[in-house]
Amino acid sequence: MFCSVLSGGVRGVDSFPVHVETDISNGMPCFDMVGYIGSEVREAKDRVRTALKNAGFTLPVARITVNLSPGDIKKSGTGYDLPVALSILSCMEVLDAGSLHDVFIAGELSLSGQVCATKGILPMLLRARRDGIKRCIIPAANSGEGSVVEGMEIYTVTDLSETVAFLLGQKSLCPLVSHLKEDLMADRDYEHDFSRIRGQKMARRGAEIAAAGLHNLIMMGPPGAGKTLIAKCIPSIMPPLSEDECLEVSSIYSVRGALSSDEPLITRRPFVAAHSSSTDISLVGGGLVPRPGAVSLAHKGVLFLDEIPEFSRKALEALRQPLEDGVVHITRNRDICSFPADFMLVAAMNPCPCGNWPDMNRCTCDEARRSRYLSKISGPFLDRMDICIVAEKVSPFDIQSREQPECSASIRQRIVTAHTIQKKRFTGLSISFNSQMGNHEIEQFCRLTPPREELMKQMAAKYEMSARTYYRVLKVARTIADLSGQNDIGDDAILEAVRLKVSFA
Amino acid sequence: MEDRIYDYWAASLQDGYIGNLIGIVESAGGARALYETRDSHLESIPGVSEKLAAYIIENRPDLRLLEKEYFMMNSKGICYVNYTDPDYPERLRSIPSPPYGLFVKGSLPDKYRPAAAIVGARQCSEYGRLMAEYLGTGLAKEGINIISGMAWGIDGISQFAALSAGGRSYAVLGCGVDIPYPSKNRVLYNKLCEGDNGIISEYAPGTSPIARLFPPRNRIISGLCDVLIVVEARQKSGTLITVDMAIDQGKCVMVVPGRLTDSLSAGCLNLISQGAFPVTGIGSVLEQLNMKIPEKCGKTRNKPIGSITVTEKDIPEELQCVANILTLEPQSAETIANKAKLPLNAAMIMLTKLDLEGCAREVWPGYFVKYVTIT
Repeated sequence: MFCSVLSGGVRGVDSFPVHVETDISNGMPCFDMVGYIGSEVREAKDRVRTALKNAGFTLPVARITVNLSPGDIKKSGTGYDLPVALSILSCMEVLDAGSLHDVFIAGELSLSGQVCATKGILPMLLRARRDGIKRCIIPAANSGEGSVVEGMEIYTVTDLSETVAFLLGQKSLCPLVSHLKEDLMADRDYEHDFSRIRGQKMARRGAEIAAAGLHNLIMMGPPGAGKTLIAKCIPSIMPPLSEDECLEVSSIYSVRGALSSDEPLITRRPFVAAHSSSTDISLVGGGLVPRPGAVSLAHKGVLFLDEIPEFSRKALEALRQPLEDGVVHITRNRDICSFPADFMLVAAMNPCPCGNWPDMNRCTCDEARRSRYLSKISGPFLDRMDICIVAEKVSPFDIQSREQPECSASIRQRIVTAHTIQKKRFTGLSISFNSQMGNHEIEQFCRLTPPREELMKQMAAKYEMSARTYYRVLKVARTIADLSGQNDIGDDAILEAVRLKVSFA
Repeated sequence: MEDRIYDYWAASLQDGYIGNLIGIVESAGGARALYETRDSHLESIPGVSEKLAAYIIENRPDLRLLEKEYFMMNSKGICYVNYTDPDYPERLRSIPSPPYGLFVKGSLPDKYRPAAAIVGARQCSEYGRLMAEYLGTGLAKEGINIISGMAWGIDGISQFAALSAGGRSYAVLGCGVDIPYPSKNRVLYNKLCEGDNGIISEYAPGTSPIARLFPPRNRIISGLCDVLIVVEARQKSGTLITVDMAIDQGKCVMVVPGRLTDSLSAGCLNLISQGAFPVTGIGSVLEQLNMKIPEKCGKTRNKPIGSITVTEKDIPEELQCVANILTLEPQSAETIANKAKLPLNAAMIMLTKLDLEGCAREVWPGYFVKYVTIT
């Protein structure tokens, strides 16, 4: 007797369908699992056997073969327990094969027959929907993720007996009601808001321009200047996530197992702070079974690297490829995994090891120590930073000022306008933001009038700009012009863009 | 010729022994006699300690090897001057524990020209930088040799200014003259090797820069000058070693006064209270050197001797509001915008314009000063 059940596996942040096939035939009694499976999948055998026994089903004394097809993709994870159990039951003719036809099933089993949560449910459901599947059975613990996928009947189960009863029609379950729209519409307040930052006009301006064109930003300033707080506020001035972006970001978190039932959907732009002891693998992702790293968790949001000179050179160099391409490719023996990593990089650093430079009355670092500290960030890395600003310690004058700082919502309005202008400009192209322009697009969209070209030349000579710096300045100037709603890049945009770039990079 | 090699050998002992090497060599009966003294007899020479004896034994290579080294050195454009040579600077003969010999890349200072040493903090302020530049340029134009240590900060800035003004400058290093230390001053090092300028050291070529060799070289800096000028020094500063040595050698010490609140001027103010002469301009230095003071820095009814003139560039009308806020003290763009009551981006645009016009300078990332010339 042969039976097949549909389940899914995760590769990168994408999912692929897996058919769990079972055959029970006469022969030496044994239970075999095949299909290029990882050790946690192999262990499913024992979990399934015990769970079935504890749910009141006895395995027949026969030869049981389970195959996970396709057989050439490595399968990992614990989500195959429930489909294996159900496919065996169907083979034993406990269940009707028809009831399992075109039903997507995933879930881990405990020895008692409980169905436990499994990672990567969201991308699997999205794939099932794309493949035209109409019914799904997932663990109740994953109901949060299930409730954001529309257009399918998704049932949640807590244990094996309940699942069997449901499939036999002895028990009725209600499908989940999707609340994606409500989630997206809900007020998305951010914990950190620019209204709480007094002073720091330079950093505010830098952050606004950076968010408007998705430029990378580096801040240099003494400890306590508020660099981290400013970075944390940046997601709050970026436009809200669209439905597609939301599901894309949530899928990454689902694969990491980082979605909770309280927050089944990532509706706010992510802010990911990586510690300076991070390895290259933890930043860009990797591992035997490739898992997304910090750059992917920051997809469509902000990746914040504090104390950037303290990062290992290897870790920083690893960032260069995702910075350029917006995607991480991880090559394994038989496979290439891709994780999206379209993030905005915000870096912060102290001006010297003691942090007090250029206050000569307090700085204790000598020149050699300071230049050694600065030289830890490679030139090519600094080259990739479009906006370099200096954050000062906030003066008591600013803290006591009665002037209410502008809140994030009103800054966001300007940024949304700038994004709309850019979307219109880049329709039909593969890019959507100024920072992503290549040399060809720069020539097309950042055309300067002859006197302005002259001004740019003058500045390139004065500040000894490299060709790359020259183009970066033009891109930032384009964003500044977009923010102020100008069609042409004016003198002011150029002069400000230059000031934002030449200070220290 | 052979004696020369022995002298060269004796001079190369200087990095292991700091003190009166000349006295020891003379009591041994010359460099050759010292070289040939048997190991067991070394300690019987007056002044030779157990440590020095061990050092001599360890560093007594074969004569042929020494010869080869000597010629190698000459082929690199480095010459050796022994204390008995007529070329040996007269000024050094009179100081306590003069160096046994000098290694020179380029040339030695002309003994007929007055010389001023300009020293100070490595990590100097913008004010210190301006004053070092002013003194280096001004004194070089009066034909005064500038002696210093080529260190980062005041030393290097004053020497660079002197060279740019067409004057002569000499650097005394605490390592071999073939090592440009600090490496950030490589451009200055290369310039100092050309023309009538020079790099001087009492240590043999190849000696690496280690901390304990630097204080003794300061006695050569002060020894080679007629007046020592301290531009900026903290309360505890290596520069003060040079000052002590200059006082021991009976040289005149002058100090650039600073503000009471600047820790970089604390050492300078302390020196003034102890009786050092304050620098009030080029004229005040010339006065100490008993030189004729040019009319432009002379005493007038309402101007003290050698006071300085600060000239600014003409500033375009529309940039005045920002330019008026700039001082010699670095201020951040944000502070400037706040003071000028301008939006930040407007201030940044004006600062870039002022920078382009040469009226402002970004001395540290994001911090600006007024660009002035001091004469």
